[in-house]
Amino acid sequence: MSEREVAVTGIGMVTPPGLGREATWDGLCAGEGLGAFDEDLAGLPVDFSCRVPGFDGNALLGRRITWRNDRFIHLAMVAAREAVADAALDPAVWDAPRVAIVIGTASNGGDRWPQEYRNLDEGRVEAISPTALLRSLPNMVAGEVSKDLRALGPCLTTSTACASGATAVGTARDLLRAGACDIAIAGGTDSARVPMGSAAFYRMQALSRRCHDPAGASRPFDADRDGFVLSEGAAMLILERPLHARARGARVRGYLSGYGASSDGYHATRPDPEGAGARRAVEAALADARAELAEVHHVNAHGTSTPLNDEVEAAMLSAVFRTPPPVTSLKGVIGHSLGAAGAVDAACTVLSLERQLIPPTANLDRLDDGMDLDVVTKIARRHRMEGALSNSFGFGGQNAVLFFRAA
Amino acid sequence: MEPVYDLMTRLLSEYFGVPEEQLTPDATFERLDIDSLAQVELVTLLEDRLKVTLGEPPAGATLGEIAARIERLVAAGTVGAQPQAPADAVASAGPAR
Repeated sequence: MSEREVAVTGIGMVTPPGLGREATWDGLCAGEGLGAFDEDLAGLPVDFSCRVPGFDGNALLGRRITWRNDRFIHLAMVAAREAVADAALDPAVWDAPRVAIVIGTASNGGDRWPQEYRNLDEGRVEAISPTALLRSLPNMVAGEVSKDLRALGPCLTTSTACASGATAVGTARDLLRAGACDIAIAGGTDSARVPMGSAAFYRMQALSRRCHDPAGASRPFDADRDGFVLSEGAAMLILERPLHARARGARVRGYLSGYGASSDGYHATRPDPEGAGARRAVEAALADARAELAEVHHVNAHGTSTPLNDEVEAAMLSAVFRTPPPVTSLKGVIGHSLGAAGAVDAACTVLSLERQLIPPTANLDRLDDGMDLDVVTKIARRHRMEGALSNSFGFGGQNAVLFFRAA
Repeated sequence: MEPVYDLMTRLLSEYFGVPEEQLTPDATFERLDIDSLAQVELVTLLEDRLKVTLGEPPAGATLGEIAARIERLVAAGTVGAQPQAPADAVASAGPAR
């Protein structure tokens, strides 16, 4: 452990397996795909998603707070509160101006926009809620979590599509390194399983169309994969400089040792076919950590289950590592939560290192031709690990890779 | 039709999460911690349900007084009029930056 690293002292998650870090972990280790028919999407060409079952922000947070914001904010607040409690921090007494918030979100969702566009179309401008913007703008999730937890330091949202959550964690690390804060609450959130989300991603040909088998639709690296499955959720990590964590006797779950960011500069949606951008991010993360390839004992892949992403990511890993270490993609179980995904992956990579256990990639029955990867399938694998990568690659060619070390 | 006072307190309780025991005719928005943004939202919801133009509630008025004022507006026959909140009601809740 060096002072270039930051300690992860708390984790909170709300994901399709359930409410909380342990429910998430248990669901991931069970290895069953959680895609299911979604009544909110009934009648659309893709009518299934991975949803957080029974998530009720009103019950968990109270209408006093939730009346003015959308579901992606509720998810983030619940995860952030859990992370703070897990780190044994007390917002009532912490040095609030030294606590930063960095939250990634790709699309938010815009729960109320259909209704407000109808009002606009019908000329009923006065019926448009005064909360239309503040409940849905990406920056508001960071603002609302800051208010909820009385975290009064730097406060911002990152938006790098499917890498947003990882970019947030990396950016928070940079704020800590720069001395701009002593504690950072960093993560991601999204809830895009709304009708327009499904319709628009369907039109982009990004979604799996496996309506007859939604639980088997998200199948990263499998030969029969045909797209990703819309998901939702939030994950938050508490980051501190090791000295700060030690001084307050905090339990350390793992260390964030390296962060690498890059851009493909290639195409709006398709990854660089050589994986050059992704590779630069991996190499930058390892250089930042001053780590050798041999120190990477596991890769938590981006692995979206789209034909192109998985092909390029597999080839990139094989090119970087002579023999890549065991790989998994959490998206087989929980689908693709867009802006939350990078943070969920980061949090679970820390838990994998802490527990020396790799959750399996659901639905991987036959590794695609030409892929030379050791993907963990069917059951969680015990594995000795000191370092692990968490990959996130966004539409627009925006890449963020995090390297963690075991505590 | 549901009395305006009942409709208003139901919205304050169900939509805005104000504890029911605080909802008395002499309570004010200030005491209930219903800020300017929430007041504009409440007016928007009431106008939508009552099909009447309400404008901004007078500052410091009690729930009983506000409900009585709305009952008078409804009775005065503005029913069916195009709801139109005055610009200052929106401005009071508007972002400062």
